Amino acid sequence: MSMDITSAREWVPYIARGVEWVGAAVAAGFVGTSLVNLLSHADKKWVRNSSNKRSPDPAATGKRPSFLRHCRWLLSKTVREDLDLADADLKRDCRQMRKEGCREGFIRFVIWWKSAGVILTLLFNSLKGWITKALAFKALLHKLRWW
Amino acid sequence: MKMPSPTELDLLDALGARERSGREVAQLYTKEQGKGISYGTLYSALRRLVETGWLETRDGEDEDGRIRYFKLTGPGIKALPHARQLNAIAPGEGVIV
Repeated sequence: MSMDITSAREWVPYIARGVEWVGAAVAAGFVGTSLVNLLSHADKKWVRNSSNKRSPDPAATGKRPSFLRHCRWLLSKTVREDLDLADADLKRDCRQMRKEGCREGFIRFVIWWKSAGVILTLLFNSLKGWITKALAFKALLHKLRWW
Repeated sequence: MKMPSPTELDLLDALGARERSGREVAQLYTKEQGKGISYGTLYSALRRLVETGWLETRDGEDEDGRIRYFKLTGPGIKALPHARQLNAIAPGEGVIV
């Protein structure tokens, strides 16, 4: 069996056209599926999984700087409660600014600034408490030595 | 009952007679005083006021996390005008019985 080269060459434009149509169909399918996914998941809460490492919109999910969590171990139990309350309030601030239509960069800056203020204040208060206790202990030692 | 500091007294004024959350108190304080207050300062001051018997608290929760509501105690409501007078004379000093 031999193939007529002239007739095979005649099929080339048809094959190329077919490949173009298949490519266009695949691309349309991909875009359509993406749109459907986007619309159907628009109001769903973002959940972290292996294929979705980062939140698509940190401001919408109320993400705060991680140093608030990392500084927890420096604080006493009572001050940690204050930190939790402040953290929840920052989340509410974030949500409110988002509702008001503030820009994401602005929201991130404000939340970062407020978080820094919170942690510095709480650390300063903790340090002040430690110094007060140390001074009281020193005064007690001094009195004991005097007696 | 220990005399509150000037900032604590401003926070008590912002709180008023109603029960409010810490965030509401911060917003009212900013509105009345014309300057902001850090949540760290706010909750430290409110904790001191709770410890000294000026305020009582109630814990709640919403989708964003914990909320603590603060309210003036009975003795706190009675002592507040006297504390304001004392603060005008000698800020942050003295004890209210």
